[in-house]
Amino acid sequence: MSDAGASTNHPIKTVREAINEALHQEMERDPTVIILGEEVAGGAGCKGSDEAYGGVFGLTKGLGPRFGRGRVIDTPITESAIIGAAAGAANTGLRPVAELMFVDFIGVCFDQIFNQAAKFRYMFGGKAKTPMVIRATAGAGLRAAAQHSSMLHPVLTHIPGLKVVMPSNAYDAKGLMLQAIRDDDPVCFLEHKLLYETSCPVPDELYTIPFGEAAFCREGSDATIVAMGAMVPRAIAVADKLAKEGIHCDVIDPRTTSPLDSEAILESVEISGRLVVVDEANPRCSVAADISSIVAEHAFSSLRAPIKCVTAPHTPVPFAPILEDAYMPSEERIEQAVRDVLGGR
Amino acid sequence: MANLAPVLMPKWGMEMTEGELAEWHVAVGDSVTAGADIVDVETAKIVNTVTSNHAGQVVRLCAAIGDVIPVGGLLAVVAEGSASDADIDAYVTSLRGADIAPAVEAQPEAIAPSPSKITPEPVIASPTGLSEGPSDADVPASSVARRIAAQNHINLNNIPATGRHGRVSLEDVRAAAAGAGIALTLPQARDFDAPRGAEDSGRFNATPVARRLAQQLGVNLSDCKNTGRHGRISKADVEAAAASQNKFPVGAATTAVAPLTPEAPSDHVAIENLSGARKTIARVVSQAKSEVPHFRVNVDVDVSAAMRLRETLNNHRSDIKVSLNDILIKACAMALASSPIINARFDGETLERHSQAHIASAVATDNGVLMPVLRNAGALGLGEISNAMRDLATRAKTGRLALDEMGTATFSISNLGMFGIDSFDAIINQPAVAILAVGAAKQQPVVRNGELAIGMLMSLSLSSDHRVVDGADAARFLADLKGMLEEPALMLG
Repeated sequence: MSDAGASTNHPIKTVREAINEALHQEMERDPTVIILGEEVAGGAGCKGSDEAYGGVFGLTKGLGPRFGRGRVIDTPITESAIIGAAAGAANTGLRPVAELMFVDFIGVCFDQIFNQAAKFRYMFGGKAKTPMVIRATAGAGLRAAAQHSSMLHPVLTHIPGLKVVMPSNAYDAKGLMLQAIRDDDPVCFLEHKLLYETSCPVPDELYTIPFGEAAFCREGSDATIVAMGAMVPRAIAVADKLAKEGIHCDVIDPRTTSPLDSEAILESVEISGRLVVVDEANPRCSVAADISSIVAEHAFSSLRAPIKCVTAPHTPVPFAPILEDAYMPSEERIEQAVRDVLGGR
Repeated sequence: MANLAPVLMPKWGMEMTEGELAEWHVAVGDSVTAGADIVDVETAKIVNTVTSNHAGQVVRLCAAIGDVIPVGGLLAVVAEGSASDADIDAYVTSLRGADIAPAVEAQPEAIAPSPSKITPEPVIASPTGLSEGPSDADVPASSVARRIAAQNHINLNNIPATGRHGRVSLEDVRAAAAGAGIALTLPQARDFDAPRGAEDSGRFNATPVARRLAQQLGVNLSDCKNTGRHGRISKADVEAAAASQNKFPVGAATTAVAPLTPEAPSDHVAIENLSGARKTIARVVSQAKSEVPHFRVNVDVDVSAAMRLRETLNNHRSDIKVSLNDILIKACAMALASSPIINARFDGETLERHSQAHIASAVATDNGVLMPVLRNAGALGLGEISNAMRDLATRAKTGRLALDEMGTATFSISNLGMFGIDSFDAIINQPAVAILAVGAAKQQPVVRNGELAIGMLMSLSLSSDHRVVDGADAARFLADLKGMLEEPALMLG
């Protein structure tokens, strides 16, 4: 549990600051940690821009000047090279943190991810390990159109050998990032663009959050809401609104979709008998569908209402702002789903 | 009157239930601003400072250093403006009297990563064998397990952990409670009453088939009993509720051709599951009809002499009341003695010939036809047959037949004469190899010795299993039977 974040006497930091701090502290602590990606240090070859840049979203800002170009490597615009180099470096004993500017670009390096990095340990009979982190921005809401707005965690969660992390707040982001770097397997670390500026108390010291342990953001026995990434604050807002009516929900943030803390979800549903899964990804073969299936398979007799999934429709992310807003699960849709599972309340 | 405001024990983190006062930052009479430090509080994990939510003057400190105050407990009172001691006393009493909801720690801006409990669930159990032990705040446990353990006054230190990452799981709590003989209380999922209508909320535990049928029939699941597995509403429950509300499936009716007149009453179809007895009958006759090659031999018998015999017997004996059917049974038993191949049982492999005639008679009951068996009918007199048959029929109708009184027949009789039926064919009562179908005895013109006369004719139809009985066997038996019925004296031989 994220108890350390519970006390308020830690400084308030944004998700962006928390991740940047985690990278700084871990590079300081562990000399084998390297960073590579497009413009992670500065615009390639542009003088004077080193300090200013640090990736388009500024997550790696300050790392280049601090640790030098030997450990913070600007790469060509070739995702297959970034991930391939990172996977090879990981096999030789380094702990690379590779950045994909947008997770939408994962297609061009997918072979390196799913057929190489994810399988090295298995193919070499456990004699090789691939301790790499693939950081990527994800999600809609930034008016960035279909090719820069996807939520692809279901695609990655499907692949054995990969771990998939989706922090929903700054405290979790730091603890999960440190765990991701120290983990001996390839980890996909998906950062939702809408969350970068959200903040909460984050300890200055180093701490890790284990993978596969869900956080209960709210507690209540009337219904269970499972939400991931940027959907977590929306689910919390709905739970808080319903709480004023005397309806109390468990809000569960799995934090990692692989491994998934299905135990926590099943235990909660066993008590509440009602499940709403909120996920920004497209609905088919998704994590929302997966969680529904796990609950239907293992807790069917506990269910008092059909499971409701609140997801994006089965379309690419629209560019028109009104359509994009309608595409993402809204608080209104989540609230309606909870009221539905409560029997029309 | 002054505006009074409380300073309450806050809740820092989900495990915090109480705090110990460590040091006051204020004294009575001090002026404070909103956010000013009031008192340091020590919990199992941290020391932190409680601040005032209101500006004003501290007018009362309600606890002493070292006191352990539960979350939500009153620590101090702040007044805006002047307040009399009486006012403050009344205010403190009202707060302590009222069950103050525990204060919820204000969320930091944006998302708080920490679980913040909105309504702490009360401890609902008294201490048990699992309650002892040091603070379990640091024992790894799943959120639900921790919640349920706390509510049941169970210390997590006493629970062997087998959950994910060595956590105590809900299952572990359950197992430990069961091992210690403690009945675990789980929060009851609440019912949220949906408006009553044909569309049920999902809150009823029903099988998918039952749910679909209920929707089809417009039956509300709340009107159904739940006799299915695991207390679910089953299809039968929905059907029972539908029947009691006179609701019937409408699928067929709606797709039918337009009725001749708009007012034409619709066909009401009641759907029901077969009872166990009916299912047995259905299975047995289907099997007999499909497996056994039946053939029939028919004959009309003049039972005038048998009727006279019956009349004579009944007139001379007050203790018996012989029926024509009783005489028929006796005659069959006698005829079977000379046709052993008819008095047999055949299972498709082996033939079982019997020296005694065990004759089953079809008896109509509320649960369908039964075939009680009269053992060794040939050894019984007509009076004995009559009494035995009345007893068997009565017990068949009340469901009190013994197991060996059914299914052991070597021959069977089905008599529909009482309904005025002329003749019919019966299905063999396996594994017996033949059954006699008996029609009504009626006055009919007959020709005797070239003269037209009025006879009392009864139609007999013998269905036989051709695998072991040939036409000549059946014909010989029926001829013997006819002879005995027409000349009852032959039965004495």
